[in-house]
Order: sequence, then C-alpha cells, then structure tokens
Amino acid sequence: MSARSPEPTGQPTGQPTEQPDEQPGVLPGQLALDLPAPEPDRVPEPGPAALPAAERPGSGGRPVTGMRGLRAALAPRATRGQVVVGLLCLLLGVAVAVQVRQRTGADLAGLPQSELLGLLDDATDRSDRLQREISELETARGQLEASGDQQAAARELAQQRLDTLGILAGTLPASGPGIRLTVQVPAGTTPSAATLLLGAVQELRDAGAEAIQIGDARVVASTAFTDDTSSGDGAVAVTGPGGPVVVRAPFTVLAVGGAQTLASAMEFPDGVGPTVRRVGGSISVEQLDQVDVTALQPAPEPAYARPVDPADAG
Amino acid sequence: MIAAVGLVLGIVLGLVLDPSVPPWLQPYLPIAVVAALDAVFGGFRALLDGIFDDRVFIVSFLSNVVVAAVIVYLGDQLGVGSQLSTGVIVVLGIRIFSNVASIRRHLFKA
Repeated sequence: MSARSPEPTGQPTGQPTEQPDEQPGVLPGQLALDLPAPEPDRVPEPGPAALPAAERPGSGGRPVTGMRGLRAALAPRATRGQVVVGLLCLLLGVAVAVQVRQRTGADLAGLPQSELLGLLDDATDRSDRLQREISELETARGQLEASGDQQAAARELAQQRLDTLGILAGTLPASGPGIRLTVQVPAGTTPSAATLLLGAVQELRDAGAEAIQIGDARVVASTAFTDDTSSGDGAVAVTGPGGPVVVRAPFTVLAVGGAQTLASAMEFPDGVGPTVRRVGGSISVEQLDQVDVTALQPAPEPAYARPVDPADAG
Repeated sequence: MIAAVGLVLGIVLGLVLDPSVPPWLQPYLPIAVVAALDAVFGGFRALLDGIFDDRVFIVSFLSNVVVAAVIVYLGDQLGVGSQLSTGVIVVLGIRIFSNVASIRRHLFKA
C-alpha cells in the first residue's frame, strides 16, 4: 500500500503495464479508492504476452519494486490489514494441509478402469481370505470350547471319584444322616468287646453304612479290632493304616447311612443288640439327621500293587 | 512477512492437528484452495509491483474463494460439476502461471 502505483488499479483488465509509463502523474488516489473491488493487486489478466512489457519498463524506472521491494515488504508491519492478510494466509495453509492430507492415497476416482478392476479383485481376494480365516478361527474356537467342556466334565467326574474313594478309604471327613451307637460292655466278657465291635461294624456295613467311626478311629477296609488285654479294662485297639487307636467303653460308634435301616440292623435276633445285652452290656441307638464322621485315616501308597491301565485291563 | 509466517504456521497447524473436513465442505475445499492460491500469487505479484493493498487482497481472496465454491456448487446442481471444476482450475492455473512468471521477472530479472 505504501508505494503502490494506482494506475493499474484503475484499469485492471486492460494493459496496466503500459499505463505507468504513459501517465505517471495521473491522480491515482481517487481512482484506487473508488474502485477497490477490482483486483488491482492481482494483475493477472494481461496474459503472458503483456508480461514482458510490464517487466521491461519496471526494471529501469521503478527501483522500489523487485528484490528491494520484496525486502521492504517483508519487514513486519503489524497493521490491521497485515494481520488480516496473515490470518487469511494461515487459513489457506490449513486448508492446503488438510486437503493434501485427505487426498493422500485415496483418490480412486482418477484411476483407469483396468486398475480399478485390479483393485476390486485384490479387495475381493483379500475379503475371501479373511472370511476363510474367520471361519477357521471360529471352528478352532468351537473345538477349544468343546474340549474345555469335556475337560471340565472329566475333572468333575474325577472329583466325584476322588470324593467317593476318599470316603471309602477314610481320607475325607463325611457327614450325613445316620446313627450314633453307644455300647457299654463290661470287661472280660465272651464274646469279647473287640468281637462285638467287629460284629457291629459288619452289621452296619451290611445295612449300608458308608462311613463309620468308633471313638476317634475311622473304620476302613483294613481296620482290625483287637482286645487290649494289657490294661484289663476292656479297651479295644482299633488298628488302621494310621496305627492302632485304643478306644474304651462305652464305645461310641458313628455311622453315616440310612438311619432307619442302620438302627433296625442293630436289633436283629442274635445280632449286635441282643448279644450285647446277653453278655450284660447295654446298647443305645440314636437316629440323627446329621452325623459327622471326622476321624481320618491316611492313605498309604501301595508298596507293590500298581494300577492297571483300563485299556489293557480288558 | 506476517502473511508468510501465517501461511507456514497454517500448514504446520493443518498437518499437526489434522482436522477433519465436514462433508458439506469437501467438494468445495480443493477449488477454494486453488482460488485462494491464485489470490495469494496475485497479491505477491502486486507486492513486487509495489501496488499491494491489504484491503484489495482481502476482498479478492474472499471473493475468489466464494466465487469458486459457488461455481462448483452450480456445476454440481447442473450436472456438469466435474467439467466446470476443471474449467475453473484451468483458468486459475493460467492466472497463477502468469503471476508466477511476473514474479519471476521481478525477482530474477529473467
């Protein structure tokens, strides 16, 4: 704005290049102000032909332009107009960057048909491949889930077997309905207390007792009953895998099973009850909803016996 | 100077922030950018000619952008959008080239 020569502003469309030479003294101010809308700053219209002419007179006569003018113009002057121009340029920069970013790579509209077909084929192949991969992975997932279920079922089964065997072997505590048998036997009877207890255990087993405990001793398959003659008070040594446990009268027998069945089994003619009473002892049977068999026996590792693979067993 | 700084800053901002163009603006942005570039080159040439005016630059910048967008919009409505866009680009390109030629003569005397 400083050193502008107004002539071209007045006639932007014509040949502004000639004008400065012809009428250097024309009153420029009014013209420029009156006609601001036409683009005086942009002198593009003259076309390539006019440009050389523009340059020739300028180089000689106008020292303000060119490099020196550029240097002068580059000095920052923070007028409002300059700031607005700067803002517009900033906007343009953003627009350019955004547009370039957006256009990068994705302009399919400009591609020839053959390339588009190739791209389409590629995309279809790729999609097919991915589809196959999806179905394979889904199958694999299904298999894994199924096998996971099988494993869980197998584990559950194994746990059930473990529980059953643990109760049988006396390594797990057991509880359930059953009876509490209290047997009082005087010392030195015939049959002895050990025999009576063995009889009671056998009767209970016959009646379906699933877990039996005498005093603090769990009764398992290998349990043996021996009269403890050393003390002479009618004590019985109940010997299992864990070693002998001495129990004394009155003997308390806990049995888990059908309470009614177990109780009636104690009263068979010539069975446990009558025999105990015959030798002068007493027996009482309580049917309970909840009997806790808490005594345990260790399960020793078999020294000789080895399990047989079920596949070979048949 | 401020303009140059603004331009560079704008490009950097655009690259860094990477704002998304609203869909309604997408058809007009490219041609508006070219029109604005034309205005900028014209302004630069006017600067070298010593006849640069902020006001004229601003008005021509904005009117260029708006007219370019309107032409594209009209073309789209008339069903000749792509042809008209091409025409506008060609015209603006010619103007830019002539401006650049003038600038070149100013700066390099050649």
